Amino acid sequence: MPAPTELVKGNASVLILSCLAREPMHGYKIARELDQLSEGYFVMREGTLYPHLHQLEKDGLVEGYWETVSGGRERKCYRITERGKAELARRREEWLRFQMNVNRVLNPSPQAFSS
Amino acid sequence: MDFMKEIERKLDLPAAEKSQVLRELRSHYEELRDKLIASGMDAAQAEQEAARRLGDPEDVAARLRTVHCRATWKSALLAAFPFAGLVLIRAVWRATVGIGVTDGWLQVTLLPLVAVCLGLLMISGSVRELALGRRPIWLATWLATAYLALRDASRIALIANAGSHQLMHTRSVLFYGIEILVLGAATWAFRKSPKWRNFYLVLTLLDLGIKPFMNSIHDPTPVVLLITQELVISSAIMGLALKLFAWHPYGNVAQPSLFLWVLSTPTSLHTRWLDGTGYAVYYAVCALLMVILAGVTVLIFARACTPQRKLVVLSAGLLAFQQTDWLASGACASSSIAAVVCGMALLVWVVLIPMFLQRLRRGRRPEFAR
Repeated sequence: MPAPTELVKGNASVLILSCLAREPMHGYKIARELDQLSEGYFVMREGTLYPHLHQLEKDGLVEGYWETVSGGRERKCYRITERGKAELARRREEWLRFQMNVNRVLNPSPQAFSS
Repeated sequence: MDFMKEIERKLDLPAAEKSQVLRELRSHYEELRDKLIASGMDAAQAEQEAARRLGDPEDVAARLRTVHCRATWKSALLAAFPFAGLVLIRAVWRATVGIGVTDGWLQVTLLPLVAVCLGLLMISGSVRELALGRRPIWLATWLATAYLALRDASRIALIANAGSHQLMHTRSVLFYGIEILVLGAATWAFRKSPKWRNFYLVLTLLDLGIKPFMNSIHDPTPVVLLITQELVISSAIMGLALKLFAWHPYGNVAQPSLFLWVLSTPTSLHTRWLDGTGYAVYYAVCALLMVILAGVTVLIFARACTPQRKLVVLSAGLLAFQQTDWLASGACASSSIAAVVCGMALLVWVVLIPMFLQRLRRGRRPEFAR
């Protein structure tokens, strides 16, 4: 079952940053990576990837550059910036804390009740 | 459905930005289509599937507009501060004139000098950006501020120094020439867009007709002509701003517009029954409100909205400014016009404030308050 659209939308930036932290990529490749790594869980219309990418670029978290590949096709690739790496680390930390606390509430330990 | 054609039609961005975005989307679309064809799909099916995977063009275009057209707070403030500064200079000058001082160092030297410096600063900043091939979001406001600052400075200097009729006339002709040139240039610049070209053509023709006609008749100039001329120039600036500023569907500008109206009303509840000190006190009190209003107008305009919503904000802002201009120009010496203007102001208080507060209560705060 695919992830709820709103959840994907809310976390798209961090997912994209995470992909770009591994290597510079263009939009098409980011879409494939997200699809493969999540085993089809993150289903998003590929066109909607670009508003997120452009926002990240405007915020200085990624930087874009054009490259020409074989066959003369041009594509815009993105690489993560230092600010982007810092933001990713912060968001990752935030996510882990959030996940841990959601788990605590969803699966409370017996000690939590007794205390 | 042809995804690229559809998105090209829906994507309302400045040309340079639009071509970059389309180039990137086309690259994605073609790569996806080619991969599908390579996997055994026929060309027509591959195009359909690629379009499906990219999503609804209208949705994608709307999201892209939102990202590309929202000014950062920094650029919005860069636009707002100089404009607000100019409004402050005008307000201070009017306040001093209100108490009958027209020949002090403040009126004769300082205010014109500050206005000229502001105008030159705006021009040099704009020219630098244009030379670098950039078109920042604040460019339109800077150019408009420069024009208004130099126009005001020359008027203030001439009035304060009791300038000759000949000088006044020369100044008037010079700025009229600039107006016509700008309008003509805008008509030419928008030659490929019939809607905008016609808009500017009408404004140019109106301006060409009104000013000479106004000069050909004896004082007092009919109020209708004064107002029409102000509206022509305001519409031209507004049109250029609308075209130069990128727009997007972020936020609801109708709400901030109500705020603008509320803020503007004290500036219109005045001088029909005020003179001398009362007039000066009024301007002293309203100067701050005028500055806030100018700043907020530009901020909201730069930060939010669809063309329609931008129009609402600008109309509210411009009407507020126009009201004070009409009143200050003596247009409201006519009781009926004064009654209409004050009636509008009261209507704002009576009708719009409850609406505004109701919206605030619903938690739908105006964008600038978020």
